[in-house]
Amino acid sequence: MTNVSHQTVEASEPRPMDGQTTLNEERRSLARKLLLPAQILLVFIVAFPLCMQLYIAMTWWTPLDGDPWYMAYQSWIWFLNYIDLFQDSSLWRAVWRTVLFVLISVPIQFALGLALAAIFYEGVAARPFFYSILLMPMMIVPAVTGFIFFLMFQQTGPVNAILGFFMSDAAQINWLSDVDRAFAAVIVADVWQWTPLMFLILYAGLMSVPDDQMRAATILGASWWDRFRRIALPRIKAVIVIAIGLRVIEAFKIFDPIFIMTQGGPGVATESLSLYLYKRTFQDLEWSYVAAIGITVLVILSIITGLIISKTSGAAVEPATESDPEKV
Amino acid sequence: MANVTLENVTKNFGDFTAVDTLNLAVPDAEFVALLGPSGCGKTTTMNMIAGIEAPSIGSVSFDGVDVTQTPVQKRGVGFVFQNYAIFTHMTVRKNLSFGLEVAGRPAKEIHRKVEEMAEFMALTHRLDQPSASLSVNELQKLAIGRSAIVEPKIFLLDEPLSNLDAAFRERMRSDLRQLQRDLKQTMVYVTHDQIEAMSLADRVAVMNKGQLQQFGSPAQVYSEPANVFVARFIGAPSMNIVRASIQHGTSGHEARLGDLAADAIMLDERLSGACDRSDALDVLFGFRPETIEITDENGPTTFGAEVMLVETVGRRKIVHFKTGLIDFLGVFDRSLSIRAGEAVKLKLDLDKCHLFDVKSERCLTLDQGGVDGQNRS
Repeated sequence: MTNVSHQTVEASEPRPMDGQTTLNEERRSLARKLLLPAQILLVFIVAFPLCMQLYIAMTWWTPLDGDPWYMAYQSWIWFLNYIDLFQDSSLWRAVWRTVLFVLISVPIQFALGLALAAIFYEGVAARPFFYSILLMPMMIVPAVTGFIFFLMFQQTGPVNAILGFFMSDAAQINWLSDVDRAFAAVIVADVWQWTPLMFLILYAGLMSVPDDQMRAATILGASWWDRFRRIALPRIKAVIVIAIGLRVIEAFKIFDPIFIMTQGGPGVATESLSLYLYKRTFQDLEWSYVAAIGITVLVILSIITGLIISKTSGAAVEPATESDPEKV
Repeated sequence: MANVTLENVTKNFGDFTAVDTLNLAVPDAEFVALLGPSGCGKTTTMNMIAGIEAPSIGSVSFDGVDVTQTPVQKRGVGFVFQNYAIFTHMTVRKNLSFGLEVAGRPAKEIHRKVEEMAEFMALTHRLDQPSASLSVNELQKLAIGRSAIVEPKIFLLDEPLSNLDAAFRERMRSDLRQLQRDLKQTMVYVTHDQIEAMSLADRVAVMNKGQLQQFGSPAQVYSEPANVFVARFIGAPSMNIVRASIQHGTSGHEARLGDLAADAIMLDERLSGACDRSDALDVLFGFRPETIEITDENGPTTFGAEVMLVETVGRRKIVHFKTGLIDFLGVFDRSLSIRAGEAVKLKLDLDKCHLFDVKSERCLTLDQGGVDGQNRS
């Protein structure tokens, strides 16, 4: 008897397991089949251009040769493009200008965005109205932004007209053809366009700070600044990292406003990395060299992004434990 | 420590009156519960004491000093939130020192006080751990300690136990009571749970629809309810309140429970006096389910009833009776043998019965002392 019952138990137990695994197998193979078209598409969108770039970057191929790109192996040079790249001083000057641009522009956007978010968090009159007004620059096409500021910074433009109220010789200021002023003008355009994004992200972060914690701090005697510094800011650390990370990456790729406003000029005073790449691509037609630069930039940006993400996930651990007291 | 006085406090939100002409005096070092159903204005009342909300009319004073215009930061109240509102991004130490730090106290003093408070709250071993790692009773202690460290005049607690499960709540309740005694603090405690209010508080303020119904000791609100609302709200199961007609019999007043009940109840001097004072022929007759006895003898306060349903709840049997057209409950020990459908004779303890006015629903058998001198319109 015992034997029989034992057997039934043994027999009945694995069966549903078996059924499940076959079912899972079936499901998985079906899932694979269904995903295949999307994966093939991804291969063409992501993998193919990347491989093509890697390939071309190891050659001296240029469309001027008249050969199609897959014949590029005829001028195979291994890593010479990458070696050239590290000795290309005009490239590194463009990189440095871009970094400088990011280092000035993003902190200004952060400071302004945080200040606006704080003001909105405390509550302003007609909040929905100002909210939509504030977000508008973000929705404008960057090239159009460039054009707006190109007009604004003309010698006879509105900027000089307004400055004229305060300084007698303001009409003489030449913005876009002065080395430093052109750089400043480009920063102004970028700040104008992207402060709203910073504001939006930080404001959303502030809204997520638990109300009762702010109130608890108030009752404990904390001033506005105390609450902001000790409760709100530490709580939106993760959001701050994300916002800055996003803007650093985006600002590093700046192209459109500069292209419209100064074309990288005067000289190369506002030539960003993207603009430099553009010129090497379309003026010099050195496509293989540009491919090498592109890959190098990709690697460097990936490393920076990785660092930001690892830092963010560290900061994000904290809000996750946040709900604990309520849960228990 | 301080006493708190609310004078004619009214709070309107648009057309809605959350609190209506409230007068309340919380004595020094007492534990007072604001008890009432949701939306009765108890939280608004507490917010006005804290200064989170300003009264539309009336004044709030601590120790006789009017603080109605004093902002919340300067009012010196400790506030414990429903979910404790612990700063979970800080350590326990930082939570405790927060109030002192923002007040700009010297580091040495902060350190000393934090150590003392941690010692007092038995949190010393947790001081340098993240506060998110604490258990719920440690969180409660931390929330109270964080407020207590700045030496507030009074403590306000907003349903601090409502997030907990029943078993744990009991333990936290006794912890809280002990803390209040040790701190010797005036505490105002908001709750909708009558058991919490009755077991924790020195005094209970029962509120409904923005008005104070009764303010008295737990025993008082239980045995001498000021009106039908309090009588029904306090006690589980709540007081039986049935319509009764009063007749002037040969040897005193008689009350007939329900119109068709066969047996009349002879009223004693206290209840008769209450009837005389009100001149009413119809009253609401209130008696607690616990005060009914089953008897064999006929007496001046016995009446017949039919058993409709018997529920056994733990040690108690809750019996549903019917006499005439009225239903009421009785609570007995579970050892009582009784079955549905049985006809029984019940005896009332008239000392524990109350009469209420049909219209105003106010208790007729209480002198004004039982309402604690509240001016209620």
